[in-house]
Amino acid sequence: MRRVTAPPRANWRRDVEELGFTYHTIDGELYWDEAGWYEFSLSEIEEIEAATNTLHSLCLQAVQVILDENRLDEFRIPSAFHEWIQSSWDNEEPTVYGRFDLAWDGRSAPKLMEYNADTPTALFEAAVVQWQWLQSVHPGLDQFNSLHEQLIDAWRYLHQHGMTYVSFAATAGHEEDFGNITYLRDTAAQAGIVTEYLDVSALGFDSGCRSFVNVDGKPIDTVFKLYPWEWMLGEEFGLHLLNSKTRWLEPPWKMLLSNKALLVVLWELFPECEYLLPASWQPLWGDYVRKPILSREGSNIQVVRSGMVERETHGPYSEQPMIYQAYHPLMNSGGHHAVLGSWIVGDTACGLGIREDINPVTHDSSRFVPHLIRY
Amino acid sequence: MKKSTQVVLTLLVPAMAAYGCGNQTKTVQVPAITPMSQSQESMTIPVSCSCGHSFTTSGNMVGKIVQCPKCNQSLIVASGAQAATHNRSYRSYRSDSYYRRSTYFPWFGGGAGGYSSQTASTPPIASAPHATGTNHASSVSHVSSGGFGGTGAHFSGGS
Repeated sequence: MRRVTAPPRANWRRDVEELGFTYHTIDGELYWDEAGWYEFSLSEIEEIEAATNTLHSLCLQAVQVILDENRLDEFRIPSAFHEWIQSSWDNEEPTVYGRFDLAWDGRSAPKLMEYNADTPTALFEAAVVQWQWLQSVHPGLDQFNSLHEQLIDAWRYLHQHGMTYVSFAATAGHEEDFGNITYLRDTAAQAGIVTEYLDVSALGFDSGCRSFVNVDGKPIDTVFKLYPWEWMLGEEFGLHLLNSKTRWLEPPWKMLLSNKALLVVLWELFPECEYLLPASWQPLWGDYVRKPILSREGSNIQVVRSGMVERETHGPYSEQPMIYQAYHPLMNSGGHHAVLGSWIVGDTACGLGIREDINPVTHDSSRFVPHLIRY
Repeated sequence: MKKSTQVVLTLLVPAMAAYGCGNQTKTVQVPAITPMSQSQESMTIPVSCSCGHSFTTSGNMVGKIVQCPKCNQSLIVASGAQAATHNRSYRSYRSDSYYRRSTYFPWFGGGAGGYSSQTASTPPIASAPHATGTNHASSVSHVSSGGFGGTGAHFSGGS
């Protein structure tokens, strides 16, 4: 694994915009950065693939344990929703995708930093934009990337089993969210599913047919949401979830995996797993990172090394319960800190997206950098 | 690792192009799930509001919102056919082995089995705000609007 630099394509903006990737620059700063890329050997990619599949397996086992041992209070999930989440799991409600964020420099084993299991983004750029970059710049080389095909296959399967109409909902006014959810809509449509887009604020609830409804008042069979479960449960409108027949993607049980309390449970259950870092509800011996259980975009992270606070980010999650995870550095190449976003669709590890920052804590504007496999 | 096909995005490209023009919502209109039959259109639908007032509306109002003339509540007019559509079972969908838990995750033992009605384990909550409509076989129901978004109005929902 190594970082390589070269001048970007002369017309890279035009090239990516033609794909529909209009948010390559955010607040005047580059988000898509092809002036550098990461090269992997096939064996390295296979290591990432194996780690991702293993972590996915461990996560599903952890959900079973969390529910069997009635530990939802640890995840700060309101008790009114416990039985509802249990039902979601017992009914094997399907999941489409997730992204494991890994720290790795090509040596030892990849380490799980967190699992974005509910509303992962940076999907479109991982599935399509970096693939187009590879075809344009390195057409003879390969990439860990069958995301597009796996997504269509997953939707096709769901379509064949009754999921014929899906409403995609996101927060209005966020171009990146809109791009990601529209890409997912596109893959669903290619699988034969009829889709619509609506803002989450436009969702209504019809108590007579016990269904969420769209802006025209039509009952919604399935909603694919890009709006976190913890926000939905915390809002007054969320109580309708308990009395609704509408199905959700990602399903309710995925909220256990998008919660960083999962890291504590995983370490408790699988301390021998080489892909996991020690995690606890109490500060650890040695260097550690303190994380709120439901934080986003690198907010309210504290890095403690040699007993001193080395770095701290601010944000809106300071009142949340905190977990403590053993410190493990990201790959640092010339001051570029990289986190590997390893994608899983259904049960299959099938793609990689790399975010990079001069700051060791990845945040919302960290740059997306493409990768390739050199055999 | 190679993709076997070229990526074709027929929906995303025009949607993103339109995004900057303020058209980010409802960019693609889709057909209704259940087309209304001729016989439904010619029907007269009885409507009973939770305020106690009863009135009728025409069959072509099925699926649309009407206001109770007495208390002005917004109501969705539903037909028996629509109710049947949304009560269908998803048994076959859930019982399939898409997630291959029987082989990949042996603790599932080849499937959970014992599927019951999909709604059997979703308890109604009496205290739910706005959930004031009738849950029995009524032709009318109450619509709560406003949706989600209170938490994330200023944040991205992605991670």
